[in-house]
Formats: sequence, C-alpha cells, structure tokens
Amino acid sequence: MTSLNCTKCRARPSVFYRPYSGERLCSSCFRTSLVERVQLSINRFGMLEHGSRIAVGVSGGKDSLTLLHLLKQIEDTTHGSEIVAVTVDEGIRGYRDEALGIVERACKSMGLEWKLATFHNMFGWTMDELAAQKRELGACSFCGVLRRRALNDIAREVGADRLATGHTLDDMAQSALLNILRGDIGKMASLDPGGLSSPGFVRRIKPLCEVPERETTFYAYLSDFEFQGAACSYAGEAMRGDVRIFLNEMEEKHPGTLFTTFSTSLKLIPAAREAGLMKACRVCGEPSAGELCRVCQLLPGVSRGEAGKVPR
Amino acid sequence: MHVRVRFVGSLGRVTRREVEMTLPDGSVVGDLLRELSETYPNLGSLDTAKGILIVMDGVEAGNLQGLDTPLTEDGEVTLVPVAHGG
Repeated sequence: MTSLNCTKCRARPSVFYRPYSGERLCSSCFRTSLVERVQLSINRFGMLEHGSRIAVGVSGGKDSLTLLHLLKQIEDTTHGSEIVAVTVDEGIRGYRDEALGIVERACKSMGLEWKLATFHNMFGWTMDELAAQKRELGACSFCGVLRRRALNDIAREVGADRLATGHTLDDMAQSALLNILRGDIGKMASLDPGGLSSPGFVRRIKPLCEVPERETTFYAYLSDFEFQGAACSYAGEAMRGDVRIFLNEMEEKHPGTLFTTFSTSLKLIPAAREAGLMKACRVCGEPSAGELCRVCQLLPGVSRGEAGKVPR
Repeated sequence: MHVRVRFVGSLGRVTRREVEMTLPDGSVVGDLLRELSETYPNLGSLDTAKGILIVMDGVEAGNLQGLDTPLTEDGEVTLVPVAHGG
C-alpha cells in the first residue's frame, strides 16, 4: 500500500491526513507539527512565563500523557519552566488503579516528579461511594467538581503557578456547545485556554486546545504509549457523550467544525467574564462563583469535616 | 484474504488484543469493521464518528481511502479508541 509524500518535507511517505487543512504528514513532520502547534497556543494565549512551575494534570489517558510528553520537549528547549506531574485518584475501582501504574511508569521514564492526591483523603468519599448515594446529579457532575478542586489543591501544594490540563480541541468545542445547550453562558469564561489569575486559584492552562483528539491519539500510537484498557464505569451518564458524537459527525462531514466552534467560544469569553466575578465561599473560603462553592453545595459538611466520613 | 487486527486500549478489553480475520479477496476496511462487529458483538458499532482511529500498517486510514481502502494480504490493521480517557 503506498501513500503520497509528506506535504511538509516532501521526502518521506505520509502517514496521517488532516482533512481540515489538507496536509498529509510523515511521522516525523506530524510529531514536529504538534510540538509547534502547542508552542503557538502557549504564545497566542500567553499561558506561561519564563521560570513557571507547571503542575501537569495527568490522568493516565492518552491526552494527558501526550500533553506531558509535548510540554517536556518544549520546556526542555525553550521556557526553562519546571514540570511536576499531578494525578487525582477519584476512587473508581478497576479504572483509576490501572491508570496510576501507567502514570507512574511514564513519569519515571521521563524523569519527572509525580504527586498523587485522592478523593478519599481530600473529601472523605471515594467516587464509588458517592455514586452509590441517592443523587439527582450524574456521577460526572460530582466527579468534575471534586476533581477540579483536588487538582487546584494539589497544584498549590506543589508550589505551582500554572496547572496544565490535557483538554483537546474536541473537549473545548464540546464544552462550548454544552454551555450553550445548558444556557450557561457565564461558564464560557472558564474556556479561556490561557486561564485566569484569580485569588486562591492556580491559573489553569490548556496547551492542547488547538490539537484535535484524533491527533493526540495518533501521537500516542506513534509514541507507543501504554493505553488504558478500562473505561470509566460512570462515563455513559454524561450529556457530553451525545455532544461528542454530534460534533464528530459534523467534523467528518464538514472538516473544521471543531476549530470554528472553539473560535466562536473565544469571542464569547469577554462577556462571560464580566458576568461572573469570583468571590470566596462563605463555608470553606475557597474561590467560588456564588455564595457557596460547588464542592460545599454537593458535599455539605465535608469541608468542615461533618460528613460522618474521614474529614480532610 | 487474511489480515491481523490489533485492538488498543479499551477495545482490547472487550475482545482479545489481537485477532486474525479472513475475508473475501477485494475486501475493504469498511467490510472488515462490519465483519468484526458481527464476530465480536461486544465491540459494538465500530463507527469512526464514535471515535475509532484506524491504522493500516502504520498509516492512518484517512490518509489512504478511509473505509474504502483495500485490505492487503497479511496486512496489520490497528484499531485505536479516540474517545477514551484524557
């Protein structure tokens, strides 16, 4: 089977096609193009400063491992920032335990510091225990809120001034559409890939915001990363799955849809930012959009150690 | 026609990590996916829109003729889940 030559180097056979740009890339130019794309996003959205200490949220999935790999290459040669990998164990039996081994081996092979936090130690509940409770919200709603808090806490703990997450272009476009479908325009502000400087928050950056998930997947395949075998047992509950399928179908029929959706969301950020200034939660003092932060809304008493479980 | 299929990540959980398939001469990638879904119902619909990256002997199928790409004798097809794990 023969393929056309790479449209960048014109020397080697191509292995990957980008329908949205028409490029056909060899493995070497594909890898280089991802490093360059991430570097451009970092610059475009002013994500880093020289000497930043970056906590990289690594779940063990292909996106976060790709992020860690790309940032390590970029920071080794440019910004000179420090990288520390951070992982949150939500306590999902059979899912996260496999991922922890993958993260530990990846960090060891790259010579990176790794810090682990658990829902159990931070909130007194594992995700499996929370999912078993009578609840109106889907498990992903709980998990997302608690994971964001846990990542912020652990990033502060390791002295980071940036928290990098593996959100891809697909994630960004899905979140934008979800915010519209739920009528939650105020949440668009959190889609700023360069993050916000806010008291109590480690600034969150999303260096993969312009990299489609198909490309993080192919990068992980080319790099021979260990792929997680287990799927999250609660993933099917999320509305995001439906939006993902819709956007994937649109992208297949109309290449570039993901980029357009993302660009549109960027235009809505200034208005969203005006609408939602952060204050301190009246219970736990953590940053919050309202009087009570989402963690204290979901787990009343936990921040004060009154949940009848292991207090923080 | 004989091909080797490798399943990566979560796809390897629902069946074996590697299977051998025999299809009529002239079969294309789309035929292979349909055959796999029938032989291994646990895999569900192997729909690219639902997040499967298809790699044929190291080349992503979109760089060839997508689902219409002819299979090659003794070739290796790797199926990688896209929509899984951040």
